[in-house]
Amino acid sequence: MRKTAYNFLATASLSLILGTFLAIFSSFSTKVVAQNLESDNYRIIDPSIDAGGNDDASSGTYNLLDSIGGSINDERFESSNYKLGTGIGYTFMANVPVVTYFQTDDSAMIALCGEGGCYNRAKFELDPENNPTETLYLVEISTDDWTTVQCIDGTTKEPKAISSKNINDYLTEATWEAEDFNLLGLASSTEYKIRLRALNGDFTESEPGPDATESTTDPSISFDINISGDTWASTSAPYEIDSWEITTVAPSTADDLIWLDMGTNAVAGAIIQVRDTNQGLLSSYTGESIDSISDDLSSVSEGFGLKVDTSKTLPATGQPGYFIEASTYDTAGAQEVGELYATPTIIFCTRPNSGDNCSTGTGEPISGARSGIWLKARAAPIRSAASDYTDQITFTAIGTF
Amino acid sequence: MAEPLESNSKITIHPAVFYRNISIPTNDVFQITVENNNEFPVQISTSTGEFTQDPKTLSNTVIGMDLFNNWFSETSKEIPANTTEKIEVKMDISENTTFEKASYFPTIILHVTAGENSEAVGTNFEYAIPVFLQSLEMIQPDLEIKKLDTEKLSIGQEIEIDTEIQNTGNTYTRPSAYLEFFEVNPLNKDNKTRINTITLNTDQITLLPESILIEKNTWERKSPGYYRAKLHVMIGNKEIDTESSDFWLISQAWLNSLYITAGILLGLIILFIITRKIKLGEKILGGIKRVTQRLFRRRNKK
Repeated sequence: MRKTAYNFLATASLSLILGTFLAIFSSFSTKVVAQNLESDNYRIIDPSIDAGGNDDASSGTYNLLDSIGGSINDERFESSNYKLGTGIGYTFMANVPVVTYFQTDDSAMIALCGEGGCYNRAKFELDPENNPTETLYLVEISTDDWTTVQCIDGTTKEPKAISSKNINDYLTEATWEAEDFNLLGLASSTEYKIRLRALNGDFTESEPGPDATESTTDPSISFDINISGDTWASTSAPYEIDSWEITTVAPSTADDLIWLDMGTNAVAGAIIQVRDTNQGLLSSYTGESIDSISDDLSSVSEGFGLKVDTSKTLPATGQPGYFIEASTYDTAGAQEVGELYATPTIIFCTRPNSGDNCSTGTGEPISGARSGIWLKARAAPIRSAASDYTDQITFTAIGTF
Repeated sequence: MAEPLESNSKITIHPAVFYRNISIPTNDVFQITVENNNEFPVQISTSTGEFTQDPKTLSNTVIGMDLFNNWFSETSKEIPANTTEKIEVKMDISENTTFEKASYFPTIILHVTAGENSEAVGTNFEYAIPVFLQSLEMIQPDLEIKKLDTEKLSIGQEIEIDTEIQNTGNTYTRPSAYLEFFEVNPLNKDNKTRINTITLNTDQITLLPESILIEKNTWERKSPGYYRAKLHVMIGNKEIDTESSDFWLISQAWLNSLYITAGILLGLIILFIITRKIKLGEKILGGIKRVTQRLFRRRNKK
């Protein structure tokens, strides 16, 4: 009797457990269908579910914002001002990055590109908009308001066809922003628009971010001469050094200096060349001349030449480069001068470091370059005295672009 | 000490360079904007010259005057004080011209004159505007890697890479180039992983024929290993030349731990040898002792 009761209880428990399992299983496996596909007034024949809703979700007075299975089917999700991301795909997408800096000619870029700003290079910076640091970014660029879209090559940093983009064109924020210039090969005097896309894993590329617009400048060079004493002053033309007394007993120096001012955004800087009409001081009256030489006038009987006063050279710190005097005119002795020739000869160059010279290395753009040049002469005792010893010195500036 | 540079009355010109493709015949106009920031008018007159490029420093320099007067018109214009105006220089290459070269490098010279010189030494200044001309029918652009140098073993976390790219074509060109770095399998020298790149010619310098773009770059890598630097040189998007150089990069910390490990191993070996020698010595001494004892025993028996 007791045994029968135990058997009954065991069977009942087992049935209860099995029943519970079956109920749970059936709740998962049974298809959920609409219960009321028909009523007294209507019947829906052959019900099915399409992806993406149906055309009857709108009329003249209403519009159903409807999305099934991630599909987007309403034109109002997007306008020219906003875009609503709906569906499962958007949860995996990287956040849309924003360009926070895109410049060619602000003070920071002038400090890199020289006077006038950058004509073929630019720099941009971005806000990752909470994307993680390993997120990659693609730069899209256009000169015609996105009618034609190019992208920036991740290795050369130059624009290329968007159809040729590859994963190497997607770089991290740190890699893009590590360079002084991250946009190269741009055309001068051209307005560019850029925008960014973010990528943080397969199938996660974001929509392009908002545009940033900037124009490149023109390649330019500025140059000026002033004639003034030991202190620089802006003077009017003609740029003349007044006659000064040239003696036989010792070298003499003109009262005024020739001051040169220059600035350029030429990528490899600029040089100033000097050439001389008479290659010395010539007197039309006597027909005699004091020839130009490279020597120390205190140790020779006669000569004429230029000496750069390096204490007057600017900029003191590279902006972005330094104004460097050529060794011919950067003479050591107080009365030592460099010779003037009929053919153009380098007198100044621009270089990236203050200790550089004009014979080696490549040039650098410059802003606010200035220096002063002394004229020195000494006449031999045999030289006829005259008041019309004259000369014509021409300075030529040329950039390396 | 020179005083700080103040805003002063400079004359600025732009564009200060021109690039043109030419054919026979060619008619073209170069518009140059002149900004006269002086308080007085200046007279600008134009002529021509020729420029060249120092093949090593890459500085453009004027080498001759009035060499292209038959191609370029001469013009003159007064620019009033504090005024910006445009100057037009016309280029006319007539039908009976024969191009002897694929490229020409004239300059438009802008002379600035302001009043007559009458005193001892008159000075004046001018701008030379480089004009890069090339005949598309005759040009053969080309670049060549002259040098890609790295140390074969560099101690530290960076290595210097010297590169030289020469314009071996017959026209001007602006090289695009980059260094691509790979981790390399030292056994079969295969590229294992592309690590990163360094862009060259970020200055965007235009090279004349024979000119050499010389650059020194530093590549940093914390992980020690065997690496490859591959130099790619392109004109536009077309790769012209490529070369590679392999090197070991071993950080000082890694080298120090290598020294310590080697020192410990050496010490263990020496210790092992010493121990073996002591045991051997003991064996020899024991043997001598035993032989001596036997000899004494035999003698005592006798």
